[in-house]
Parts: sequence; structure tokens; C-alpha cells
Amino acid sequence: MTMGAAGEPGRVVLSARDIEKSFPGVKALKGVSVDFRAGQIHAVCGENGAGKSTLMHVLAGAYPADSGTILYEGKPITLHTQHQANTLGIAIVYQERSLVPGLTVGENIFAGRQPRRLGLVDWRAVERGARQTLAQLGLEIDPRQLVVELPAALQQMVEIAKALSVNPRVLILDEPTATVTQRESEVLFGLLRRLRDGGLAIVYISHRLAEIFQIADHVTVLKDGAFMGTEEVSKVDEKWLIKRMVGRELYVTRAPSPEAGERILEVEGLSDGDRFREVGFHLRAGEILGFSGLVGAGRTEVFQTLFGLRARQAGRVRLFGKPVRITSPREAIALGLGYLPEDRKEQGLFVEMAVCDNIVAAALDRCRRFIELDRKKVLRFSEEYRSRLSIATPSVEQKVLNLSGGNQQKVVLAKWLLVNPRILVVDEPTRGVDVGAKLEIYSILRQLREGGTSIVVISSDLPEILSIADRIYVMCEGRIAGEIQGSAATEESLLSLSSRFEPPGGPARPAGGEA
Amino acid sequence: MRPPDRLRAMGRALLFRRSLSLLLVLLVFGGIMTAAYPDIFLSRYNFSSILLNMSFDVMVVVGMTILLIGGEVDLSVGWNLSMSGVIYALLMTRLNLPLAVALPVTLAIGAACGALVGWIVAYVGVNSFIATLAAGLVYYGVEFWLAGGQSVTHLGPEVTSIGMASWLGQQLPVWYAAGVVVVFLYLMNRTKAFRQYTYIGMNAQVARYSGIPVARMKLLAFVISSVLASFAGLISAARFANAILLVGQGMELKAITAAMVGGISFTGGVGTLAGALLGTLFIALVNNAMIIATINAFWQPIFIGVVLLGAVVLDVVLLRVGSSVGRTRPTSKAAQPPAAPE
Repeated sequence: MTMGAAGEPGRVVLSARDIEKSFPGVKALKGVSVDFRAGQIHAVCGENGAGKSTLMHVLAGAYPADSGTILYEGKPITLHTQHQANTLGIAIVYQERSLVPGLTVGENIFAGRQPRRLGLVDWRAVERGARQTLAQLGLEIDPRQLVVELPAALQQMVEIAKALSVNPRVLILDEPTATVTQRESEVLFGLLRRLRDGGLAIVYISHRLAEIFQIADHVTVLKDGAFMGTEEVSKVDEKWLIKRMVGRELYVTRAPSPEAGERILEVEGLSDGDRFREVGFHLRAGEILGFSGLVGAGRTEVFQTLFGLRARQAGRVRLFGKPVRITSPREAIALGLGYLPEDRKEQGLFVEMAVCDNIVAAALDRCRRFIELDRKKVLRFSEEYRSRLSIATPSVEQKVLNLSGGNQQKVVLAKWLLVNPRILVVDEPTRGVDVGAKLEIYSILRQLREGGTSIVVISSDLPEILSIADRIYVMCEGRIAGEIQGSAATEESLLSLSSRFEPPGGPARPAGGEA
Repeated sequence: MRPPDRLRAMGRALLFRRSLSLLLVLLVFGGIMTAAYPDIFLSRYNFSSILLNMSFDVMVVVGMTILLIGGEVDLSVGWNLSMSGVIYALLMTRLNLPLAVALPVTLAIGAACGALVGWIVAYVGVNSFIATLAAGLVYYGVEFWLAGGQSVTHLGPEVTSIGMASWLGQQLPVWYAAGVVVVFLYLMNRTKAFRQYTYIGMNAQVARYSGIPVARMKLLAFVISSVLASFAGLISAARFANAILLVGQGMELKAITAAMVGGISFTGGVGTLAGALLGTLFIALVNNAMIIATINAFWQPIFIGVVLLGAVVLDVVLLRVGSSVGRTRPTSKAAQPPAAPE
């Protein structure tokens, strides 16, 4: 293969024209038009849910657009599969790793299209081809090495090498620095600049603003699926970006914050030795506390640790004035904590079980009569919470699988309400639910607070946090970046705190990348 | 509800509840056998012999079913059963221990083995398929080593006292099995603690997030399964006055087969103990019928294999029908935007 097949820099290679894409209940892209040019790095940025990833998926053929045109080398194309996009010359590297860790670098680069000889895989050709590809990228990686043995950044490079081995003219990178350290990012940026200078059109998705100024030539901002503008990076500053990224309507008007009660949860110097360190905060009785920050900032991990789902390395936790050391969710629940997890299907719901079985799952002890599980109590509690949260299901014996996303989320909420926690942590409580269910969930949370439950809302949705939190902590790169009163917070202030710290380059992660 | 609706509802209940449909099959099967061999099939002697043959299987099936519902499996029960018979016999014949010591010691060894394997699976995180396969090999070797490669035969009256007697016309092992069935049917159907196995088998991660003590319950299931296998082994040695080295060979697969014919799913969380027991009865009846009809013995595994395949194929088909028919609206995965990884 040859690197940088594309022609003179500046020529438009790939264009999107008025691309629209809807998912049930959400309009993910509302007429987006962008040009991507050879020999340039074009950043696409926006908040969570702005439509960046959707746009990239459409451009890479992973799903079809509802309307609009994609032009490749000036000609309109219709993509049905990603393979088709690859063949044309559009390659994508997803956020999630696609490498098989137990195979060698060479095998991964040639996965699915190994050179053959006499019907057998020609391993020498694989090795030779991989060595050549890696050398062209300036990477000193042995193609015979197992992927699992490589540090994160080098795995990322192999991922890029794999994408480039189809000899594309456009390379799309979806948050390539999400899992690598800053030092490793530098190596990656070096590679990207070399590829750009070779004439490749690079589309770079990121929500780390600092990176855009480091690496990109052009930047396009999306907000709620709408195109907010494209500009040369040299002509804009961070303020310009933030101004275009934010400004969505609040979902509900803010309720006045209640009198702050005493501190019922105090956390000091909490570290898990991996995803977060030195985290300290407190929660007051009767407040809704927001935890904001970018995905991967460590918010979820902090509360998983408090709930006994992750091991803690250091730190002190005082709950209702008493020092506690929680090692299992069972203990946490017994102490009055509830945690509604972010992944509904993998952590929150038994999708193959009935609504009633789900609602009582965390509170089986409340449905007990001596050692027996009292089916009547199960049904009574489920009916009670079904009507209280107006869960739309023909029967509580219906499988959860058959409910809509919003109703599924209400089932998880019901499950945690039945536990009757004094502190309820909700992690991305409205992810994947429609606007109507969102508003219902907010009003349930407010009612809960009035009933004396203190609430922590972890959310990547800025308008959500701004409209319901009385006080907000912002996390960045595993640390608390700041604390703001809900009434004083703005999307701008939350966003700038979210990128306050550089990614850790220190000893927290294995350093690597001698390439 | 109008009659056609009710009929349809009944039809669906029959299709979707394996224990009901299996019961129906059993009744039809029993009817055919009664008509064909009225003197033999319905005789008291035949009845007793079916029950006696089943009683050892039943104890193993109970333990296996709890594990399968909880999403695990125990492939060591066969060799565990054989080894326990040998240990029990040797404790009394070679060490001259009284029954009151040999019995609890054998069961305690069973419990300890189950606890160790359960710990390896539930706390260390080794796949139960592999952990119990390995444990079975160890039991097999230990048994042959202890017994010097010879079955322990001609056991004396004290050894056999807990196995040989009859009560109310049925032999003791039948009563033991009945006791085990009653206790565990109650535990599995009614108690909160054992209900947790369904949750664990459905999705162990969600169960953990819900505060269910997943690891502890899994360990307990391995202990139960192991103790029941030990008990079946020592009762078998007592009943037949011989601790036969290969008595439990293949028992684990037999138990899994019975459970799956009875509607238990290998993926966990699905099925009931009652269904699994009906599956055991079904296999016992088929065996019995083949003996009565003097059909060559090699037809038996063929028939059971076909029945098992039929049952699991039915499950797959029902799962498809169930997921397209039982919907209130075309929702689930389709209705949600793919979680945009931004």
C-alpha cells in the first residue's frame, strides 16, 4: 500500500450536504453540511448528544441518512455498509477498540482479508505487509507482537494502521485520545500530522477543546444535531467554540433551592488507584447535587466505589456522621444508599423478567414473610409504583423488554424508590428516553427530595444538570475541577471546568509509546 | 373472556410452560404404556422400581437445577457421587467408624468439596464448566486411589442399614429423594433466598447492582449440589451393598439432560425445579418403557438425545415466537437511538 494517495492539498474529498437523521424520539442530525479537504485535519466538536458520532457513522456507512447527499470526489454516493465505504476510500476508527487482543499486530491489521497462498493464509505475507504498513507510519512495532501486550496508545496506532491498510483518502477518528495519556497523545498527533502532510483528509472528533487548537486546521461545531458553523482554527478561540456549543433551552424552570441541611455524606481524598484520585465533596440533607463533566471524567467510578462496586484505594467516607467502609452494594443499601446505574440494559434491568420482578429486585426483603417471598406483596408494591410513576405497561407481569426506553427507565427508578434510600444516586437518569419521560423523571426526583431523600444526579447533559441541581461539582480527568451553585452555573462555566485539567501523563497509567 | 380466547390462552400456557406440556406428554405416554402393557406397566413392582431407579437421579437433578437456574453448572457430580460412596464404605470397613460418624463425615467432605469449587467459581472467577470438569477428574482419581482400583463390595449390615429397608411399601432411597424434593420445591418456589437464583441467572451483574449477594449464593448452590451428590452416593452404596467405582459415571450429563427436557435453560434464570423433576420422570419412564417393550438398549440414548434436541429446538422457536407475539408495541431495541458514543 502507499500512504497519502490523495492529490493536492485543499481539494474537497468528502462532503456532506443537508444530512438529516432521526432516531425514534430524537432528531440526531438536522441538515448538516460540511466539506472535508485533502491534507487537512478537520475537527468536529459539540456537547454530548450533539450528533458528532451520528454524523461520522453516516459518513462511514454504518447507518443510512434519512435525507441529504454524501459527495465523494465530487460524485454523490450511497453507502449501505461500512465495507462499501472502506472500498471507496473512507476509513473510520471508532472510539471502541476493534482489535482482537489475543492476536498479533499483523493478524489484526489484515483481519478478514489475509493474503492467501494455495488456499492457506500466507503468514509471511501478513508479516511483511504489516511491517511495511507500520514502517510507513514510522511506527516501531513488531507485527508478531500480541496486541494485548501493547500500551493503549500503540494499540490506537495499530487501529489507525489497520484503517489505513485499505489505502483510504479520508480517515475518520472518533475521540482517539479518550483512553490515552497526554504523552501518548503527542505521539498520536505527530502521526496525524505526518498523514495530513501526505495528503490524507482527516476528520477528528473530540470534545477536548485544547486538542482542537493543537492539531486541527478547521473546526465544525454541532449542537443538538444542527450545524453551527465551520471556521479555520487559527481564526477562532475557545470562547468562540463554547458559545456555539452551548445555549440549549432548559428543560424545566429551576425550582428555588431549599434550605441546606447538615452534611449527610462527606467524602475526602477518595482514590481508586485507577480512574479518579483525591476526590472530595459533600452532600447536604434535602438537596439535589449535580455531578457534571465529560464522559470518562470518573464520575460514575466515584459513585460505584461509594456503592461498594469498586475497590477503593484511599480516602475517608462519612455517612450520616459516621465513618463507613462499604464493600458491597448490599451493605450500601442497608446503610440507606441507592444507585441507579447508567447502563440500563447491563446494570439496571433484568430485561427478560417481568416488570414486577424488576421493581422488587433490590428490595426483596420488603416482600418477605419470614423466609418466604410473598407474591402478593410483590404485586402490591409493583402496582403501587406503577401508578405512582405512571409506568405504561398493560400489566406488571409484562416483560420489561417490551417497554419503551422511558418506561424501562421508570422501572429502574421504581426499583430504587422501593428500597426507600435516604440518598439516591442517579447516573445519567434520562439517557435514551424521550422528552416527555425526561420531564416526568425530573418531577419524580423533585418529589423525592420533598419527601426527604437527598439526590445526586450524574449527568453529561448540561441543560439537565442546570435545571435540576441545587449545587454542582464538575469533574475532569479523575479530579474535582470545581464546585458551583446551581443558580450561578451556566453551560459555559460547566464546560470550561470540564476541560480544566490536562489528561494525566503521570504514573497513574502505564506510560508507553516509544515510537 | 370468551371461549375461543380462553382456548387460545390455554394453548399458549401449554406451549410456553414446559412443566404443563411435559405433564401432558407424560400422561399420554403413561396412557399408551398402560394400554399396551396393562399387567406390567401399572404393577406395583414396576412402579417401585421406577421410583427406586429415579431416586438417585433426583437428588443430583435438584442440585444441578439450582446451579443451572443460577447460571452455573456442576460437571463433577457424577464422580463426586461415586467417590462419596467409596469414602462412606471405606470409613466404615477400613477405619471401623460407626455409622453415626461415617455418615456426617462423608457429607462434610462433600460440603467441603462443594465449598472449595464454589469459591473458585464465585470468588476467583473461574468458569464453572472448567472448574467442575477439573474437580470431577480429581474426585475420580482420589476415589480410585483410596479404593485401590477395586469397588468396595460385600458391605455389612451397619453400612447398608440406611439404604436397604422399606417403609410403607417403598424403599428408603425413594423416601430420601421424596424428602429432598419436598424441601427444595418449597425452598425454590417460596423462599426469598432461593428466588435470588433466578435473578442471578438472568443477569449476574444486574443482580449485583441490585444488592443481591451473588457470590455467596453461588457458593451455596455448589455446596448444596455437592452435598446432595455425596448423599446420593452413600445411599447408593448402602442400598446396593457395594460402593461401585463407576456408579456415578455420566450422571452429570443425565441430570443436565433431564433438567433441559424439563425446561431449564443453559443460560440461566429460566425454568423451574418442578419442570426439571418432570423431565427426570420422563426419562425414567422412557427407560422403563424400553425395558418392558424389550427394545434394544442402544435405542434408549438415541431416543433421549432426540427428545433433548426437540426440547431445545422448541425453546429456540418459542423464544422467537414469544418475542414477536407477546409485544405491546414494537419497541425494545428498535425504539432507542443507539447510545451515541460521544
